[in-house]
Amino acid sequence: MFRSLLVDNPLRFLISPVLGALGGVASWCLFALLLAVYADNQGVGVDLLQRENPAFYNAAYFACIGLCVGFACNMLRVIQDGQGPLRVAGAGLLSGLIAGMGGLVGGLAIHLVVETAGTTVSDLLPLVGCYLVVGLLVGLSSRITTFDRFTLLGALGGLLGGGVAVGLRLGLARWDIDEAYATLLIPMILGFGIGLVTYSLPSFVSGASLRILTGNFRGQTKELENRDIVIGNNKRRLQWVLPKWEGVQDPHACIEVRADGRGYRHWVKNLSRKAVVVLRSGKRNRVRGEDAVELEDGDVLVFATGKNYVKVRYTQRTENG
Amino acid sequence: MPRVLPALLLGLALAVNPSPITADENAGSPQESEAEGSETPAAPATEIGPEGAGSEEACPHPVRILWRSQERDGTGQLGLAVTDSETGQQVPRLEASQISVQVDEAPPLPAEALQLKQTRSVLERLPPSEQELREALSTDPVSYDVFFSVDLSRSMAEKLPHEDNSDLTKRELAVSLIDRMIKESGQNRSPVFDSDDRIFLAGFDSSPKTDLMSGLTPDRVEVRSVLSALLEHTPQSENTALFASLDNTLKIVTGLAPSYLDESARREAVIVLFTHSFNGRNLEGRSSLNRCRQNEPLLSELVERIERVREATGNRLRIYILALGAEGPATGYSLDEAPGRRCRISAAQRKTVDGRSFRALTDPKLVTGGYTAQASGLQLLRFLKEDFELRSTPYELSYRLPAGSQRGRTLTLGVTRDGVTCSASLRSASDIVPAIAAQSELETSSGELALFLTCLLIVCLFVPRSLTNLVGVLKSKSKKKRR
Repeated sequence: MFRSLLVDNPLRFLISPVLGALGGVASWCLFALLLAVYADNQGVGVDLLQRENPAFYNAAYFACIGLCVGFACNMLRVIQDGQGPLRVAGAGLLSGLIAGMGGLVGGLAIHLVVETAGTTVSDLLPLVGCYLVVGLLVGLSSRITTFDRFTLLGALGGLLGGGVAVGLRLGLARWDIDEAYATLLIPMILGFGIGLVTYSLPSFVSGASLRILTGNFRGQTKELENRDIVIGNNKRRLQWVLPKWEGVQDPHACIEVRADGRGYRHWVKNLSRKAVVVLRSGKRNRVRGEDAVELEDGDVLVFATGKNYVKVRYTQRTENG
Repeated sequence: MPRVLPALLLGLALAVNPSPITADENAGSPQESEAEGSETPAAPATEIGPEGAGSEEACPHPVRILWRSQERDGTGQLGLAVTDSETGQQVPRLEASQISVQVDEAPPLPAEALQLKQTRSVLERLPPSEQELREALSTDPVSYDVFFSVDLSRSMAEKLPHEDNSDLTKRELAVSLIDRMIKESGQNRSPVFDSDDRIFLAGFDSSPKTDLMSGLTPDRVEVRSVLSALLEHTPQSENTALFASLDNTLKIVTGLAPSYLDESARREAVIVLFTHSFNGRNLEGRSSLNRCRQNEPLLSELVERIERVREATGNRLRIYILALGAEGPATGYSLDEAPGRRCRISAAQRKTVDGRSFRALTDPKLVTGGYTAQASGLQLLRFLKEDFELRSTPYELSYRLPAGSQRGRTLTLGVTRDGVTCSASLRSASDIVPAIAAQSELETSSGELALFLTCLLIVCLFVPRSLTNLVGVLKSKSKKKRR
């Protein structure tokens, strides 16, 4: 259901940042819950915990942000690949846990700085430094599981989110808006920034992508990285799921990835009895059996034939040589 | 990598702010006070929370900062509790000159930058989690044995010329004031003495009347029946055994002295004396006095006895004299000098109350308590009530930091009393990481804001699909039209 929301529309780029922001809201809820439980155990009021145990307060705040934002920002990729909810949750949770650890380290770093050096919101440089470091750590660790080009994009998103969070923090302080709002808005901004950059800018990196041109999922893309992918209609086993009702079999085709210099080249194989056709310069090249066809930039792949078919455009970003 | 970054950041922060703040130091030890005017940092921040309790063992009046509110313009406010370590009550009537405020390492703020007042609104600003502290501060921890002594002489049958008293005689007014001071269950008024406090009623005209009650009692019904009896008393003469009555009460207090020395009981003796007259009898209440001068040796003797009783009770003694009338000139009598030969008691007491003697008997150096002469019953009541309420009312300290100063992390506050300074410090929580709890009453809570934003974000998820569907519908309609 959720996958069908990712349509061929420029506004689809909004979805990743929105998910990141929702992760921010979730992190605020988790943080409030954690504080309530901890304060209850310690017999201290929640409103006094920041003073009574600042190390716990700061570390918990950023750990919650890392956990939830990391989870939220890594769901979309798996959802788009059509994988099942367990895989979505698993991938998100793994990234979330690592990002949570990143947030924990960031929170402790902030605690170290503010408690040792006595910095406050009015001290601009440490404030900027603190939030950028936390943003960087959360962004970096939220994408560390893939450990590829997107990891750096995650870090970039974290920096962006951290920078905006500083602006927000200063703005709230300047206009005397209550800090309780800042506690909520900062993780949202951080999640928004990480989500924005990690999903919206992948076209800058080398590799290739497949973009669906027909049907319900029109506009959705699949980034081809350094591993082969299988195309089919089975959520349990396949890396890229296309709808059964549009004539895709299980498994239907395979995209092989081979390293070429700094980038990758790709071949398509037919794994089914149905047709796999490569349209190149107006010509139809049918892919049969084990004979792999090398893909070129601009090729259109057609899976199945007749009324039910899916058209996919292949875009190559690896230059020759 | 994660290890290096905090270290780099720390170095950066230290370069920006080279004065590291040490851990919180809740000083409670006595120290010499410093009073130097100087500059102090300012900062936009608000922090609430009790902290900085002084050490009760070392300090005779531990200081506790209840909350701090710092405005952007450099003004700030502190909620402050200064507790007498012996009684557990708030120390009343402190002045701004007794307070020193120091922010970080800077010298203390000048006294003119400080304003101090005792107000119950301090308790309202405590966070909700500090309900126990609020109750502890607003409750007087001491129970009282109250010895009321009412002048029953003929002059007390006159009326006081004040609109507050309606048509009451002085004696009726004194009785009604006692009635208002003591609590009765179910009554919605705020009394001076609650139902735990024990009452003893006595009177005096030409002789002390200490046999009206068998002893101290918390039973308000019994007290009220004695009050009625006081109203029905027929005075014998104008000469009053005021000193003898006070002396008799002191003897009763002396007999109860061991109970006041018990630290765990926290009980005090309070003598409240209503009178309009000069003393006209000797300390035994047997022989009459005519001249004001004859009271001088009796007064000295009584002062000595008060001092002895105060010591015997371990300073758990208070004396209040509420004079129903006004101070004024009389022949041969003045407040500042010993009475002259021409001062006759019968003549002087028609014109003035004996303020001079009453001041001597309630001298703050001699005993806790006070004296007031008022023609209004309400003002008399307010005088006594305020003195008791101030002992369970914390302070609000307003201060102004010099312009252009930087924010301070640690605020140290010293309270000097009888040459001893007790201090407490409040360390601000860092505001780099925002506080989750709202510091003020918001129109929209952060929870409501979160709910609204979540709904908005969820709606945003459906926008691309809705837009695509809309465009698809419009396109199909235009195709049909073309066909």
